[in-house]
Amino acid sequence: MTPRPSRDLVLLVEDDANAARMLAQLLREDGHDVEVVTDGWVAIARVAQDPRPDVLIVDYRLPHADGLAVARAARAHLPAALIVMVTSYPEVVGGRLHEEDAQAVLLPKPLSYEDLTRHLAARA
Amino acid sequence: MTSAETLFDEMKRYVRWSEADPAALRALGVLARPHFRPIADRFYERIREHDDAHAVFRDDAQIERLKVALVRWMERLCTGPHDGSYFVERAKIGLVHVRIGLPQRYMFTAMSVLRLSLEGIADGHPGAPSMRLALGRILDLELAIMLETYRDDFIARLQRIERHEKQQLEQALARSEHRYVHAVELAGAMVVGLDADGQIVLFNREAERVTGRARDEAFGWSFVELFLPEEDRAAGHARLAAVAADPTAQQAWECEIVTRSGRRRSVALRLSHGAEDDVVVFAVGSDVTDERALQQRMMQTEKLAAIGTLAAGLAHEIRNPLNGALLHVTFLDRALARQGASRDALDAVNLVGDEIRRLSALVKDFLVFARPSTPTLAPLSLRTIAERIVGLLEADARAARASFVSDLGTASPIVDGDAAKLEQALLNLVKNALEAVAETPGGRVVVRLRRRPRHALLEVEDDGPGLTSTEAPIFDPFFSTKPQGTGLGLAIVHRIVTDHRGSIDVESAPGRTVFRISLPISNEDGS
Repeated sequence: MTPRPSRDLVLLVEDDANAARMLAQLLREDGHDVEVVTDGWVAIARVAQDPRPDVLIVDYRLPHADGLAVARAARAHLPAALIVMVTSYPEVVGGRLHEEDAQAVLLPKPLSYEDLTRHLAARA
Repeated sequence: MTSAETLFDEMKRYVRWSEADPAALRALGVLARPHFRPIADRFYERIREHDDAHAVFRDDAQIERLKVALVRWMERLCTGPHDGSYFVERAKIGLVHVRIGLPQRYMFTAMSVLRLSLEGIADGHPGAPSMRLALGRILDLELAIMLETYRDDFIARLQRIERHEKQQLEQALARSEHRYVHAVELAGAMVVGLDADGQIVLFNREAERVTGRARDEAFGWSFVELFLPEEDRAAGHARLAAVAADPTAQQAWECEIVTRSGRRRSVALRLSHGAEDDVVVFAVGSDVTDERALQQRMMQTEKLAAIGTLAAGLAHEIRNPLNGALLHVTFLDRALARQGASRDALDAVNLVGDEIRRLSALVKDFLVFARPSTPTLAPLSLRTIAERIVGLLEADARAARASFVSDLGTASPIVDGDAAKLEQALLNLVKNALEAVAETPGGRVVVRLRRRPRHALLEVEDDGPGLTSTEAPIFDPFFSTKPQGTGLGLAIVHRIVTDHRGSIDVESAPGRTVFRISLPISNEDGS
């Protein structure tokens, strides 16, 4: 399959393999290119490379580096990207995320796919 | 004055006053008259040799007047008539001496001076023996009259002293009684006295304040019957009877009483056997309702802190699997729809999705409720908060086909609060109200803000069906009458309000339910 330039590239950083697989499938069905990473360090390394993701969907709790560190690295390399953080701790993480990155979107777990697609659509 | 005559006649009888005496005195008078003035001079010279006597005289003019008076006195002594008017006149003269404070002993000695002077004049005269006899009698009568005036004055003085002392004593008694009454009245403690039948015979101001009953409403009533809730009465009677029966009894009794308005208050009393005959049991104590509530709240807070820590950890463990589950349900829903699955199959999947969302809401509410976070208090305007929530929920109100009235009055009370938490509390109340009126179209929800002298009142009123029971523990965690409710909404409101040192109460009847939050006005509030 040849990637079409019009399609968004979504980088999905999630260590729960089942949840990641399911979300990736839903996104692909809805016309996004999706790349899945399950480790914080790997994700930080990935955002600096091409092809540049248009959207970062990142879990907060990850092996080796937390979602905030990933989001920070992503913002440094991808100033225009949509950054969505998904977390089980919205009460704790929300304030810290928005202190660092006012544009970032925080979505609590369990993730409502409808909410996520609304944010993706708003970007397009 | 008949009594004066009688007394004088009696005195005259005693000294054997006879018809011959006035004549003898008249004869003496003839002889002595030229000597009256020199006698008076000598008389006052003699008196002034004595300091105590001298002290009663003011000046020479006064002494001159007294000398003239003494000459007149000797004249009357000799000429008479020695009748009732004589007695009255002599008594008056005596009284003058009493008034100026001449000591009694000088009356006697002075009289002796006069006697010797007059006797000396009679000496050698043929009528001297009868003159001396008459002189002796009349001068003794003079002394008797003088003494009588001293006595009268003395009695009058005694009576005055007695009267004064009695007044003093009565005043002292009244003062000490007043002090006791004051002490009992102003004591910050409830003081209740009961008689042998347990009836109230003493009821102080604090007791009135705590119970809401005036003393005349309480007097004569059985303490137990008037104040104790029915279920505690038997035990209450037994306890009071035990104290009444034992003169050494002393015991602590914490009981619940029902006030005039029907509220229950916790009261810690100390019961003791009364020493007074009409008060057999004294109950002294205080209203500990607020103290107990505070203790309970602290216990609750500690418990919640422990639960909160646990819950925060657990929340993550629950939300992660829920996340996976919900994504799978979303996928399943889409796949089934694509394959043209039955309505039932789609409904089943939707149901699972709803359950997952409900579980998620429960976790969220529980975290808010139990998370041990103290509010960060800063002066804020309740009006701003109310306006924000009204704005936020206008869409929900339209969805519930309810009219949404914002009645914020003119005041803008400032309270010390945590804006996010107070917004959450108000949000929960308004959401509940909107749910309550959603059943029937045309419902009405009012958000009302009022300022009281020291509190701000934030009310949410709806015209829905009302609570099933106002006795239900609606503020307790996990109490819910709604099928989809987590049972934490009102518990969260209660927690937030009490964390702000405020209170919340509810009035409910079909067609009108009002939740009322009362928050202390901030010291920063200058309005």
